[in-house]
Amino acid sequence: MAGEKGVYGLIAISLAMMFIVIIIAALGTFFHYPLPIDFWPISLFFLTFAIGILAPVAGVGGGVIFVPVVSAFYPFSITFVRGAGLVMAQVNALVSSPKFLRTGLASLRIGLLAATVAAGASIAGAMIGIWVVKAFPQGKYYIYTALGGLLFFIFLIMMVSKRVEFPEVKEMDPIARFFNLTGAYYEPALGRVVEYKVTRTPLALLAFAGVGFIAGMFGLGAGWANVPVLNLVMGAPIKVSTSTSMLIIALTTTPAACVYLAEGAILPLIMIPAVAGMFFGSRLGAWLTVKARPKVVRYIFLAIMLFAAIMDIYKGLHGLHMI
Amino acid sequence: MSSTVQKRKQKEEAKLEEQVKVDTASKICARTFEIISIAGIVFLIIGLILYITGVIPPLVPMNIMEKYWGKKPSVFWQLVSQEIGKKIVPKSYWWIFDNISHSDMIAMIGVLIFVVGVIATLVGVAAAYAKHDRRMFIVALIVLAITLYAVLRYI
Repeated sequence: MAGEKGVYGLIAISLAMMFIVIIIAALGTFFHYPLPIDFWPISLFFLTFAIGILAPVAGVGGGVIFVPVVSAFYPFSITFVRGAGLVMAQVNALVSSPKFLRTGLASLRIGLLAATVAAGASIAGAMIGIWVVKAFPQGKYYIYTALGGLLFFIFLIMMVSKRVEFPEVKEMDPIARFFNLTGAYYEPALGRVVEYKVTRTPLALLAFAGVGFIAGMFGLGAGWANVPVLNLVMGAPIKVSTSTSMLIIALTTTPAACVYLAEGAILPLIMIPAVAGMFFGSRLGAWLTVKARPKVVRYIFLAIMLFAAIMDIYKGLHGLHMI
Repeated sequence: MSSTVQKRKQKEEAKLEEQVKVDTASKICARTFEIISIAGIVFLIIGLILYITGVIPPLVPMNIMEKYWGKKPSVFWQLVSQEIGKKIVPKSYWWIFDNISHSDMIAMIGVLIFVVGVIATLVGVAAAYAKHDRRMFIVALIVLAITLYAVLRYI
C-alpha cells in the first residue's frame, strides 16, 4: 500500500510542479511580468523534471508535452524548441529503457524491427519539417492543426478500445513468427509472469514508418503514436507497449537529432536544462512504470494525449488567425 | 500488512521476476544505454554550469534576450564571462570568447555523445545477435546503417 501511495503521490507532485511552472511562464510571456532572465532555463529544468516523471509511465519521450507547452508559454523560436524536444525525448528514452529491458518489459526484437522503418522515415520527416518552416511560415500551422486532430483521433480510439491492458493474440502473423516476436515479464498487479506474442506486423511496420516521419517532422519522440500501434495493432500488453515505445524512441530519434544538430537548431540555453530535468525525472518515471497499475498507465497516457491534442489544435488555429 | 508478510511477498516477487529470461543483446543494450546517458548528461551539466557562470559566454542567449525583451543580460554577466573565463582558460583558447558559434559546442558534443553511444549500442546488439540469431542480426545491421548514414550525411 505504501508503494501505491508513493506512486500516486509522485504523480500528483509532478502534475502540480508542471502546473506552477506553466502559470509563472504564462505570466512572463503573455502578461509581460518582469521575470528574471535566469527564470527561463531554471523553470525549464523543473518543467522537464515533472514531464520526465510522467512520460515513461505513458510510454512517451516527453516531446509531445514539451514541444506544445514550451512553444505556447515560452518566448523561444519553434525550431529551437523542436530541436530540444527531440534530444530530450532521446535522453528520456536512454535513461528509462535499461530498466525496461532488464525486466523484460521492453522487447528489443520488436523495437529493432520497428526502428528499421521508423529511423529512415524520421530523417525524411526532420528534413521536410525544417524545410516547411523555412519555406512556408503559414504551412506549419496547418500541420499543427492536423497533428492535433490526429492526436485527438488516437485519444478517442484508445478511450473506447477494450482489453488494451492485456490484449488477446490468438495467432502470430508470418513475420512475427519469422522474427520470434514473443516475450514475458512479471506483472506485480497480477502477481504472475505474463507471456505475450504479437500479430499484424506488416500493418504495424507501415504505421511505424508514418510515426517515424511525424517524429522527425515535429521534433517529437512520437511515443504517443508508437503505443497505439504496439498495443492496438500488434496486440502487445499496454506496459510492454509503453516500455518498447521508449526503446523505439531511443533508436529512431538519433538520426533525426543529427539533422537538427547540423541545422544549428539545438540551442544550449533551451536544450541543456530540458535534458538535465528529463534525466533526473525519467529515473523516477521508470520506477513509477514498473510499480504503477496498467489502468493508471492508461489514464495517464490518455490525459497526456488529450492535453497535447488541445494544445496543438489551439496553436495551429491561433497561428492561422481562426481563433 | 506485517513486515514479515511484506518481506515474503517481496521475495516471491523477486523470484517471479528472475523467471523472466532476458537475452544477451537486451542486457548489452541496457548497459550501454546507461553508460551513454550518464556520460552525456554529466558533460551537459558541466557545460551548463560553465555556461551560466559565464566561462562559456552566453552570447547566443544575449541575442535572444535582446530580441524578445529588448535588453541584454546584465553587465555583471558580461564581465564574469570575460574575467573569470580568461583567468581559467589558457590564452591560446581565448578565441572561445570571441566567437559565438563556439558556445554551441557544449550542446553539440553532448548530443554527439548520445548519437555515438546509440551507434555503439547497435554494434553491441548486432554482435550479440550474430552468434545465435541471424535474422535479428540483419535487422540490427539495417538500423545501424541508417543511423550511420544520418551521422555521416548531416554532421
